[in-house]
Amino acid sequence: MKYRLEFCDVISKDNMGGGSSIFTKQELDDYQELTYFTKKEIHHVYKRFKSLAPNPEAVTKATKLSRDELYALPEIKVNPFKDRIVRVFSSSGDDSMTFEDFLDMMSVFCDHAPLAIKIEYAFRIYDFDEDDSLGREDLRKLIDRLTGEMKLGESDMEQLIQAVIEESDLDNDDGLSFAEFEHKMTKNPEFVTSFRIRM
Amino acid sequence: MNRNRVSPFGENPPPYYSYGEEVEKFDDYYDDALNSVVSGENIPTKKNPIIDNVNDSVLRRRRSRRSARKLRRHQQLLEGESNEPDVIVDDDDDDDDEDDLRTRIEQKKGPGHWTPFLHERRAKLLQKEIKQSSGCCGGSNTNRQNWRKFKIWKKEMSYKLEPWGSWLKNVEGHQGTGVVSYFVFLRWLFFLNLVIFILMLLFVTIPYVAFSNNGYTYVVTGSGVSGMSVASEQTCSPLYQVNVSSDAKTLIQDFLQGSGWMEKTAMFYGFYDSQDLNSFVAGHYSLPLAYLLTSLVILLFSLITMARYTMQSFRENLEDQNEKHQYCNRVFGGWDFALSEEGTAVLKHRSLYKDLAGELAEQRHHEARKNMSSNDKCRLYTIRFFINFMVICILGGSGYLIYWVTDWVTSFLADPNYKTNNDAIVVLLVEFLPSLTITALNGIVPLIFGIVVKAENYTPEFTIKITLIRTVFLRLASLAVLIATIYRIVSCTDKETTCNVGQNACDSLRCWETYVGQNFFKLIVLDFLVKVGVTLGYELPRKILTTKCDAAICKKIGLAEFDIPKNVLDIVYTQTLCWLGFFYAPLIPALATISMFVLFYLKYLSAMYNTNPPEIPYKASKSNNFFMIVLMIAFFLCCLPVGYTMVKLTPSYGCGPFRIYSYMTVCVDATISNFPSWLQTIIGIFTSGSFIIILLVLLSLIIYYTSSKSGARAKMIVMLKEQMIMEGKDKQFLLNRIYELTGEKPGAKKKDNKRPPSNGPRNGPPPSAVKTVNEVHQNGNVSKDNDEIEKKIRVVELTPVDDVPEVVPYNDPDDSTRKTAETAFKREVTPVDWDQVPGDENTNRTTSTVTATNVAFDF
Repeated sequence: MKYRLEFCDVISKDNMGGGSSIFTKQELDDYQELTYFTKKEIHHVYKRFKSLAPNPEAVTKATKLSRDELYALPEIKVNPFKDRIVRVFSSSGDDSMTFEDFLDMMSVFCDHAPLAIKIEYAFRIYDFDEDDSLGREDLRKLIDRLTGEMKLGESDMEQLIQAVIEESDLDNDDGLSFAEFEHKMTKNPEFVTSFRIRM
Repeated sequence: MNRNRVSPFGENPPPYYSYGEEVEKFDDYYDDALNSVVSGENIPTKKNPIIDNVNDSVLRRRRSRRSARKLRRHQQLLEGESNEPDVIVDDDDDDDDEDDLRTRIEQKKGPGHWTPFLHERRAKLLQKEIKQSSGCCGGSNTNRQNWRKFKIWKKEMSYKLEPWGSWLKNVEGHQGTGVVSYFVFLRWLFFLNLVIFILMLLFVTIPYVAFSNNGYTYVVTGSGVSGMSVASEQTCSPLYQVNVSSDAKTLIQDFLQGSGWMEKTAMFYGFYDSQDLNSFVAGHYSLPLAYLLTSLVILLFSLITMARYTMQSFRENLEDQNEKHQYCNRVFGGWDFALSEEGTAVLKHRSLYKDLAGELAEQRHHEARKNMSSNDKCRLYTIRFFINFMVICILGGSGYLIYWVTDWVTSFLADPNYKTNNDAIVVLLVEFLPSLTITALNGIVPLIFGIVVKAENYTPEFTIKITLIRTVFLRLASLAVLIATIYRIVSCTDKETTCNVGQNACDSLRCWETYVGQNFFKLIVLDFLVKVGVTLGYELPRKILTTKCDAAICKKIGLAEFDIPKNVLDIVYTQTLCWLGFFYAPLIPALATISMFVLFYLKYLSAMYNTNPPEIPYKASKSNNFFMIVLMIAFFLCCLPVGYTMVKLTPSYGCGPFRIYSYMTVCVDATISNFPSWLQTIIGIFTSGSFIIILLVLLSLIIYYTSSKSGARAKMIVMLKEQMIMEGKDKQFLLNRIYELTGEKPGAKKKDNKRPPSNGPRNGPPPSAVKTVNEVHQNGNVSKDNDEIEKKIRVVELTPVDDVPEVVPYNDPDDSTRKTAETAFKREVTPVDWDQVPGDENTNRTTSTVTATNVAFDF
């Protein structure tokens, strides 16, 4: 509640065109230009970012949140791919995020990001071994994480992986390249609704 | 060779461009080759640009990146118009600097990280703005900026104005997207009803209440229009009396039944009058015409909004018709990233597991069923036949029960002394008996359907569907029986002549329209009460039982499940009642609106606190379609009785806006007869039979044209798909050649050696190919010198051309060439003897390899 008040304050100051805010006007414009968010939403994202830090008062844009701190975000916490998400969106590659990384992530997951972008990031998240192709091992990991504590039997797993590859592998290289993945996902009406995080 | 591995998401733009060019060249070349194959020309003698510089093996990656980029650009262009504020990207400025900036922004909006570029880019943005504002086109720039600001404002407003947005998001976190789709549907219906209600209120109720005259002044009498009788109306109107009791108990009873004082309110048809409203601004306002036209507009409006809603989801699903990628969708789109509750996430894992395991078991089961003995088959089909027979019997029985009950109730109420002879409670019960029967049947019979369907051994998906269809039939059938019963009462022929009121065997209904309205009113009220009751009286106690009681049996009961199909059918049913009733009781949409509004909060409560997400993974988009189709069917069925009432039934002489007309549509004729004669002639032409026949012919021609067009497109799609597969195989073949000759194995196949042998049928290159390459690599048979490789390729290229015509008749000018080429491709991929290729130039390869090489790539 406290933060909320402080937050409104910031917005009103910003709207009046003066005063010190977290972001300069220019920054806000840029962020708005580069993400799929409005100014208000950017502030909101900042608020969420701040709330994750152990010491919210000391948070600035440059603050880096570690992996464990990011795991406190409810959607990330329950997500079976949380380590991948944190890795993919961390610009420094060490699983920590600055505010801009965080904004980037929320922008990709927001309602208004186009399908192509969501697909691209989904591909990166699912590509566990980062070889730019979803091979059998990737699929195995993916399915294992999807089913959680219950594991599919070995024969079931083999059957499933085989089925997925048979459905999607156009060039018979025994894995999904990005183009193949994209091709499949553009035809999946559920994907765009499921691949998002509420603000 | 050191492979230059680049991430496909372009952290590093410069190398990317140089690749792009190269690939582009290759593409051109490739297209040429393909075209020439298709058209049967000679193969172009261009050099293959890729083979000429085989330096690395990231071809496939670059290719995919390129297409991804293309697509992204295209999409951004499309979206830039609608909802993105990226005006800068659309700028047409040739300045290098800005070009650079633009690509940056594009890249950042799209893939990769924009963080490292942020400061640099910001400086450039600033620079550009200064330049533009000082330049000649400053004016347009401000305009553009204003436009951008307006767009952003619009976007913000639309978020702000999205009703219940945050509520929906809460539900999404708790229950997942499937349940949210139910709430979105509910919200949509709420707004539809609100609009219907407002239309009725604005054009019928308010004008009448505000401007009604006392006494009758018929301005629109029309000249020479048959079917109008003011005289009988004047004798009959005073005869329509309603007993209004002031007893408190009766007041409430009347409120629930729509009788007594309720019958006198604007809720029902009988309240409205046939007079023209003289005091209305500028002349008069014909209430009958307004009533009729508003009703028609409401039906039309409902149809159009429904069609739009359906088309949106339909378009998405149309591509999805072949079930080829069900596993992909389950695996890649399985997780709902919006989930934020620990418990829900566990449930989601469980449901995904069940879904996947179930689907796999189903597939095996399906294969097993193919080999089922004829004895078993016979038994299964007998069971199915009997169950279907039983279902039809149940449906018929329910219909008859409703018919019988309504009949009995009518005869009971026909006794003029029934109120004095019986207790008030009994009277209320009897009045509600038809509605109670319908609601009870709707509650009990679907349970029976749910049990018997298990014996029928259908696939899980079909099980859901067939249970739903049976339930829908039950609901519509019970309504149909109710309507038929009412119709029998209304159209009873034994009537007195003056006021057209039934006598002797027929019920004496002074205002039958109000009677119909009352029936639907009762149904809506009861339906609403039952829904509230189920939520508070069934789900809530179960929740309390589960949380407060520690006994094992309580835990076993657990929370109720949020049953999406049942809930959706419930609101579809309410909507059906609204459409059926609104003509006879103009303010029923208000009731429906309130019902939907309260239901939203009730269901929100039950979704957030009282229920678990559904165990069966619910495909929001597909089932939404199904529900919309059900809603459409219901709508058309609703249109039938309403339309029939308008055109074919004689309205009551003693009540309602149409009392002076023999049919309701006569009021339109009367209005037209007051128009100037030239307008009448034009209307006459447009409504004449010959014009309508011409129109029909024209429409069927258009339908024929569009259907043949879509047929042609479907063929085109099939062809393109084939081509796509061909291209994939083709590329794979080429890549394998490159890998072999360079002695490097493709990155994606690094793990292939560990991979257990696949059991399914495969038509790609045999797995042994990879091994061979590895072996070759280990043995060091292949030289790593590029020049040498190139030489080898050349030699390989040149030798085998003579063999070609035996296999593929290239001169064939028609389609068969393409087919042969295709078969050649197919053959090429399977039987190539890969072991022979890389080591030795003078290999005795099979002819088919050569053919394929020659068809697509002129080495």
